[in-house]
Parts: sequence; structure tokens; C-alpha cells
Amino acid sequence: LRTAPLALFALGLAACTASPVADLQPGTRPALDTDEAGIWMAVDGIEERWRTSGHRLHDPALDAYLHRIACRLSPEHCQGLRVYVMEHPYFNAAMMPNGAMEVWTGTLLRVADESQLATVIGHELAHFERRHTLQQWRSIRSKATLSQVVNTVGGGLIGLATDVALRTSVLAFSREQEREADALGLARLPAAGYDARDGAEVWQLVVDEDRHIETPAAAVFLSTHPTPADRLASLQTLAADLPQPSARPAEGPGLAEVIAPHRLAWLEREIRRQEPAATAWLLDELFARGPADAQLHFARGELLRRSGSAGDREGAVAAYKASVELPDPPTEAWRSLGLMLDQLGRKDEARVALATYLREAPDAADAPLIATMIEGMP
Amino acid sequence: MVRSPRSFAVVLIVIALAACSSTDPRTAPGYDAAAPVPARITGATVLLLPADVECAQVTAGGVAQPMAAWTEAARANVRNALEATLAERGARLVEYDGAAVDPARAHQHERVLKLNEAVGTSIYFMQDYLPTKRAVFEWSVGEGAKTLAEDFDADYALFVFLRDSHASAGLVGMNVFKGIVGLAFGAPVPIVSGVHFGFAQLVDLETGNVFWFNKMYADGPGSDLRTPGEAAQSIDRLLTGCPL
Repeated sequence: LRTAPLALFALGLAACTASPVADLQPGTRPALDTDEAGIWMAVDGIEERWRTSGHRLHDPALDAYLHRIACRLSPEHCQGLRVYVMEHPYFNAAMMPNGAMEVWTGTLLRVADESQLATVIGHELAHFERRHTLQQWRSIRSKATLSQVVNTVGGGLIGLATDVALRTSVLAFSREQEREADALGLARLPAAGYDARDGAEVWQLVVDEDRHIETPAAAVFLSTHPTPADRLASLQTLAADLPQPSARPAEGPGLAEVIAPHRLAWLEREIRRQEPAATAWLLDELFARGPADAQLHFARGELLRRSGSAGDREGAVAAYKASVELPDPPTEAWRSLGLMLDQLGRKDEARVALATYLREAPDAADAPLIATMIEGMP
Repeated sequence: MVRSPRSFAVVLIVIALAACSSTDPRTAPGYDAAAPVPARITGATVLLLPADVECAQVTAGGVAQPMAAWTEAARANVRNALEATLAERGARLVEYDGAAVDPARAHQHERVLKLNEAVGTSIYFMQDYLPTKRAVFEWSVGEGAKTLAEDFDADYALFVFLRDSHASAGLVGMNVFKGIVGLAFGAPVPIVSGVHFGFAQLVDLETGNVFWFNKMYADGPGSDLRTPGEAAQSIDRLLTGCPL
């Protein structure tokens, strides 16, 4: 048992002297006999699952748009980057050490402008360039060895305490990497033509949304990431010292244009995630950004309709009416309006709304059902 | 103390205990351990799906480190062994090549391939535990398999999944260390490595049903996928009872 501190000390020294990891060289794959090549091999398999995933959104224009932002932020690694858009209604993105990046549709629905999106992408690119996965892997490997030695010699409480200490240190290292990625990513914005002050505000969205999420987050020392409020504060501080953005060449379509074909589906998916308070906050946020919009009114109606409370039915009707009075309303707004009015006993208005739905969407799968409903109305 | 004969004996016993191997062939439709091996399928064309093979090195801390160079060698060895073994048995082989087909069809194939692997993994882990599956061997990847039959003009598809792990020098040292400490203070459990396991699955492409399945587990010498000879032995064992 007396050997335990000695072994700890020896392995601690070994871990400390581990050589630092240099940044990834653009256009290179790791040599086949390295631990990094093993990691790349494993994540190549994960990328193949991303590529063929049922959650993947296949839109070449959107992929190209995101790739273009990534290339502006990291011109030297442009050739080695691949972007996959995944249909998940949450704010998230992820980077793999082989240059594959996934961006969730919830992120694209939430960001206010391209600089906020660039902040997210820049953060992921920093993980890639700094080879964070490799660093974390090597750190876990040496900590696991240390844990084995201590558990063999010490066992019991000493072993347990060491395990807890090592596991918390893995998480602390992960949070340190996140902070580094935040700072390095943000620093790339000005040269790419984005205002870092605008970009940093993306974390305000996360802070605000978290206030409306029903499931509380885990304590920070159990988390792989710093808290959104910490990240917002440090990014705002960093952004204040960054230079003004350089001019950005106008190339290709902008954010609003590339997400337009998908926005209605993303709003519907957002509602289905069953976090009504957070969705209500998001809709308010999107309303506050621009002129009234038929899709947003429709989404608000859908959210109210699903609340199940009688008081929200009138609100839903008002939202649907606001939607259909604007240009290009979703055809479903007519259907939802008709069904809601029917529930409220306003049969004449309901019939008109449902008839409009049938006229607008004669080939809809539920058209025969709606037609039967209209016939049955007094 | 390190050279004590007693500690060597302990380590040797640990290794000897660990060394074993087993295979467990199953055939549709009804599984019966006493059932004879089905007649050989003759004249059929077999589509060889890309094998899922990975090699890892288990470090002193028990972490499985994926090894790219070993995996590359193992994949080539497995493929060569499959081709040689099946050619010997007289099967007509076609290799799956997603790049050779229309992208829309390739997308359909990808779905079947993923489902096929998911079904195989389920059989591997669940066959003996699910009450509805224990008595009868009845699994299918569904009619999507027909797209493979059509595009490759094949009757059956053969899929092989293999995982291979080897101890690092550090782990060998760690286990010796654990053996020595075990003599003095108790019995710390050694970290197991040198494990080779996987499955082979033969699917009838007309119906999508899994026609034959075998799983293999080995943790002794003689199953190292990195060497052509031992990979061939592993494949031979994996194809025990295969009607091809």
C-alpha cells in the first residue's frame, strides 16, 4: 500500500512530460502506424454513418453554403472539410478529427445572422485544427493507466477517490478545450468578414433558451462544456478586442435564402420536440427579428393548438387567421384554422376554411377525409 | 520478487484460463442443436458484402486503441481468406461495389446494408435472450434485400463482422504487476485482451431472411487476423456449418 503514492508520482510525471500536440497540417492524413490514424479510421466509420443517416438533410445548396463559411474561416483546411446537415431540432454542431462536421437544423433555425453561424462553425474548426480529439484521447489513455495502477495497489477508497479525481479531470480538460475552441474560433471571424461582436451573441440565444427548458442541466463540474453564460461573457470580452471585420465578398445566396425551403418543416419539428415554453420563446425571438411572417404565425397557432387548454384555442384561431392573411401561408394553416373553428362550434367559418384548404391542396393525402368532414357539417 | 516462480505460475494460469474458443452456428427456419448441417447450396451466386473488421490494441489502462495499420492488414487478410475458402467450396462470388451502381440504387443498398448489420448484431447479442427468438431462429432484413439480388444478380449475400484485440507491452506488464500484487494482497482481476469475436451471416436475397448465421469467440492463440494464416483459420472456423 505504501507504493501507491510512489506509483502515482511516477505516472503523474509521465503524464506531465507528454509531448504537446502540434496543429494539424492541412491536406495530410496521419501516418498509418500512429494512434491518430486509428482514431481517424474509427471516425471514418462514423462519418459513413452520417453520410447515409436517415436524419441527414440532403440539400446540396445548403451543404455548399455551410462549406463556403467554413472555407472563409479556415482557407488552408478548406479542401479537407466536409459538412453534413442533420435534422435535429436542437442547437448543436459537432466536429470529427478527420474533417467531417455535422450541423443540426435547430442551429440553422435559431441563428440570427451568418456571423452567429460562423461563430459556431469557427468553434468546431478550432477543435479540428488543434487536434483536440487526439489530445483528449491521449490524456484519457494515460489517466486510465494511472487508475489501474492505483486500483491494483490501493483499491478501496483510495482507488475510488483516484477514479473520481481522474474522471473529473477528464471533464475539466474537455471544458478547457471548449474554451480554447471558443477563443480560436471567434478570432477567425474578422478576417473572414464577420463581426465578432455580433457572432458572440449566439450564446445569448442559448442562455435565453435554457431559461425555458424544463429539464435542468447537470452541475458544471459534471459537464464537458462550460456554462453558456460563462461562454457568452468570455466571448463578449474577447470580441471587444478583435478588429473590425474585413470586407466580405458577396458570393452565393445568404442564410435566409438557403434555409427558406426548409424553414416550415423545421418549425414543425421544433414544435414536436415538446418543450412548449422554449418553443414559445424561440417564436417570440424570431418574430422580434423581422417583419410579420405567415410561417411564424402558423407555428404559433400550432403550438397553442397543442397546449390542450381551452383558453389557447381562441389564440390559435387568431394566429392561423394572421397567417392566412399574409403572403404565402402554409396550406396547412387553412386546415388547422378549419379544425380549430370546428372545435369551437363556429361551423360556417370552419367550412370556409376547410374548403379553402381543399382548393389550395387538392392532392393532399388527407383531402378525402377533410371533404367528408365538410359534407357532415350541419 | 518479480522473478518469483509463483508469480509466473499465476500469470500462466490466468492466460491458460482465458484461452478458449467457440462457435455457435444457427440455421433458419427452426433452430435445433441436433439438426444436421443443411445440404450445400450448389450453383448459387453469393454477393460478398464489405466485411466490417477492426483491430485494436488494449493499453495498460484497459483502453482499446483502434489500430489503422493492423486493421488494413486484417481487412485484406479476411477478404482473401473469404474468397479462397468460398472458391474452394465451389461458390460463385460477386463482390459488392457501391460505386458501380446508380447513386439512387446505392442509397437503397446502403439502407439494406445497415439493416443487415443491425440484424446480425441483434442476433449476436439477443438470440439466446429474447423469449420470442430463443426457440426458433427467425430473422429477416426484409424485402429490400431484393434490390441487391437485382443489381448484382445474386442469390445470397454473405456478411462478416470481426473484432480483434491485442495486448500492448504495457498491458502485459500491467497484468504481470496485477498478478504479483494479487499474490501479496488479494486477487486483482487482469485486463482481458487478445480477444477475437464476430459473426458471419448468410441472407437469402429473394426473401431477405437470414438463412444461416454463426458467431465466433476466441481468446487464445491462432486467431490473429493480422497474419494471413491465422485469419484464414478464423474464417474457416467462422464458416463452420455454412451451407455454401
